[in-house]
Amino acid sequence: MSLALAMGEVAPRTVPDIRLDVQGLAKSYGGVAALEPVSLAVRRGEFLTLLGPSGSGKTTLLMMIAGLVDPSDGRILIDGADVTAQPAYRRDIGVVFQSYALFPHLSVFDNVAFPLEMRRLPKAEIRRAVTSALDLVRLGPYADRRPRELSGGQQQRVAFARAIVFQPSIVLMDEPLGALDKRLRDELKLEIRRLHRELGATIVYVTHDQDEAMLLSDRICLMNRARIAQLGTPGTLYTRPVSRFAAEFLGESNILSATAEGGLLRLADGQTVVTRDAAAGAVEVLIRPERLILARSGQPGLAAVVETVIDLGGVRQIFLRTAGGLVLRATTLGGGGPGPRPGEQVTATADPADVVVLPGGAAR
Amino acid sequence: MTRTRLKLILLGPALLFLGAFFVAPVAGFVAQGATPDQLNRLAMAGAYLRVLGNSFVIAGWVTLATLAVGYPVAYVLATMDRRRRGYWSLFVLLPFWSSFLVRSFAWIVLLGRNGPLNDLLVSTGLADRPQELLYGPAAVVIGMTNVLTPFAILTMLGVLEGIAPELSRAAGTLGARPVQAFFRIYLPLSFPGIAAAGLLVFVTAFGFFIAPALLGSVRETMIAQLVIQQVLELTNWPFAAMLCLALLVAALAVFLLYDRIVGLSSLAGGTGARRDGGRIGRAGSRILAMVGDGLARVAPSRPRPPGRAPATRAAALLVIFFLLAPLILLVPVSFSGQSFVSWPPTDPTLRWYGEVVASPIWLAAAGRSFFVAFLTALGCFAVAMPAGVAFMMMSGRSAAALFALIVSPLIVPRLVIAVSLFYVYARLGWVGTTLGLVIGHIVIALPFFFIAVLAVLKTYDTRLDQAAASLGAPPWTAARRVTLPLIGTGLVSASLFAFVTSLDELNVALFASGGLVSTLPKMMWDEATLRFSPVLAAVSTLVLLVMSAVVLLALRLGSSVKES
Repeated sequence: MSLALAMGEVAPRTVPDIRLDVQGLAKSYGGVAALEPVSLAVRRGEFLTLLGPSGSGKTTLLMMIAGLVDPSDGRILIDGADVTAQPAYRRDIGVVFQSYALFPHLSVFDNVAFPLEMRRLPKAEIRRAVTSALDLVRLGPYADRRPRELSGGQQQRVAFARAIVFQPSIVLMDEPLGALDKRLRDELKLEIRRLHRELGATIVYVTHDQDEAMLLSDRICLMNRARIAQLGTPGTLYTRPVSRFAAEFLGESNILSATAEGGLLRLADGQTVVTRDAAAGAVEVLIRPERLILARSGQPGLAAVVETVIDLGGVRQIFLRTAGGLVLRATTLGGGGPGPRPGEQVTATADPADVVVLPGGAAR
Repeated sequence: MTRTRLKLILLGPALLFLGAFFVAPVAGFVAQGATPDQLNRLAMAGAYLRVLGNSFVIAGWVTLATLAVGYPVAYVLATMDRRRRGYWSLFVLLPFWSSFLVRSFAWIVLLGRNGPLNDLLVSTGLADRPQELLYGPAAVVIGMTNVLTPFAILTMLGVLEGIAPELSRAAGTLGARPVQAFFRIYLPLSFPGIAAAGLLVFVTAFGFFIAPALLGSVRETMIAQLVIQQVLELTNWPFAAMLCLALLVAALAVFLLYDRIVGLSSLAGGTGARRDGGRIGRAGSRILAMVGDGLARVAPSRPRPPGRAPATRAAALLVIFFLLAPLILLVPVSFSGQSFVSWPPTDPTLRWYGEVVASPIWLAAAGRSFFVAFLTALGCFAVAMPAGVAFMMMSGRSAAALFALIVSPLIVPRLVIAVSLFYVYARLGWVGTTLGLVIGHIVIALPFFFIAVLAVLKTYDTRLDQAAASLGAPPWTAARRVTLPLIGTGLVSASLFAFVTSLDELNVALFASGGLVSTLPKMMWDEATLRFSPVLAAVSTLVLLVMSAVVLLALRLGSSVKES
């Protein structure tokens, strides 16, 4: 049974709502697994992100869905039909490549018209569809330009227009913002989000950037070491990571070793915290830095001393050392007075709901 | 010292050398031909016009054949992964660098009455008796195609390697069949490479004399042979100058076209591919697109892109066999027991090698060739190395001009350079001297050396010198401890290519080496025009071995630079 079903987040397979169904898909190169068997279902209109470090298998998975890499094992179903043996040109999937792969010898218009010409649409219809796709990405006035005459951000939008103009059943995007600078990335992220909403397209998106994944996705499929590490909504992944890897990959984290003693968790330094999670024996515990509440010393909670304060303007990062020598990181909002000073004795507390016991090992 | 003065000092040797031994002699010589008298003479004599027409037709056929045969190989190489490409491209680079002369000789054997091809025709029943394959236009075109195809492949490869593999894949995801993706995307994008290869092959073929002289009959006489005849037999300098002018003008016209389409800088490994060819280009693309769509409709659906298709690969392998065949087949002939060239060789013997080794004339020629080649490599280094350093300090128009000047001996047909130098040497009394040979060889090898040196210098990061200086190394120590270890092997590799170029150079020696002081190619040429003997096969095999060893070493050193 797939992890996705185990999490109870995907409807059973028979429901026609599922557009893309990946079943036990695997790839190995000369005995080395680039992707262990993976199962995954994507709903119609859903934005699913494959997130993970490089070498985690996310691009391999995407390329197999596109039909550009042959799987070693498993099946791919689109709207219930098995397309595993279909070549890329029969799959009806739009792909936005990391390098955009715009045809340099064709104008913007001809690039976007290309998939429609392949489908032998009448000229008038092609013109209308291309014009509206270019308007959608706000490049109408650039139709006659060559790709190299456009900026990186504009090229990216042409690539997107070309991938959606033929209304493919699925749009795949392989790190489409990877080649752009940060400011442009932030702008285009919002643009992609808008386009997804407007088009209602089913999108599978690959990135290693957690901010992109959090902002864009309906669900995130977190990948590590050629496997799915966790699959769920951005909120779930952030608040309820199932492994140390997931906890550390998304957002900042304090991860502490602890031993369960009744309802209490005894940390390595001898102090205790309270959790709502069930726990037994030796466990790892996650407390997000912004969930740590600092109070004057003497209150119930973890006794600690402030070591370093980094004022980033909007927020402050405070490094603490507990009485027993554990290092904790707390994040508080900036402004509103001078804040704690190095050397000051404080108490750190967290809501029991924010003390998360990680069920999996670090390797997951 | 100001930067400008430093640059001038660095450029000095190259400018003086090329000015004195290339620009002035060539310009001075061909200018003599630019008189109404000579033009009239050319126009009046139908025989000459026929030769001119012949040269055009043969060069045209050779160009077409070279492109048709070379493109599949370039395509397969370009779509391979990097490591395998490095390995397979050896099979193109080796014939490219191996002796022009030897490869042309081999076709005398291959196509001969008792040659392996006739053998094959008869034994398979395609012909009932041996056919006369030699001494006709077909033999000339085959021989020249064989010699020039590696050149065409390498030129096309430069452009094809630059076509991103994602483009074909992207076309696939957008609904294009592999044939359609090829005709609509890949082929139009490779057009600059095809055009460049076509132009370069045409201009080289146009000035050829080796293949037509060895493999053709009188009817296949080409313009370059006419030049040789005018100079050596008739000593009609003005008319030879007129013919050289015609060769030069044709070559320059072709290179201007090349520069318009691809840009000369692409020779140095720069990114070429300028504008698309305007209206003609677009019409061409549309036709290609229609061809692709048509094929897609009739062709059975194939899940693999054509690069991996067995048919394309088989074609490429066949071409590689065609390229290597003359090299491979010469070897057994050199061991043949018969005193005339026959196929298959019988009674293996080392007799011919013994004759070569025992012959003072062959040994003297070999010694002289090696000596000249060694001096040529040194000379190239002295002239082009400072210019290369200066080039790295320059940019824009002046850099382009310098590059154009130093590679211009590549553009002018070698024969024109050789005749022009001969004309100068005759008055200076340098004919038959080692100095004369070396100077001519430097002029011809300089472009190759310069391009190789630039490739090395481009990979070198000058910030390393700054780093060494900041760490306390004085300039000479920095050069010795940092710069030289990094670029040394690349420079040796470049010098080896100059060495090989000189070793195979016939044009200069044809005029400038006389009597007893022949070079090896000149000796081989004189032998071959009389009769192709097993001795010549033995010499050719030895030359081939030496050149292959040097080239392999040069390539190895060159690639180790690229990797670091």
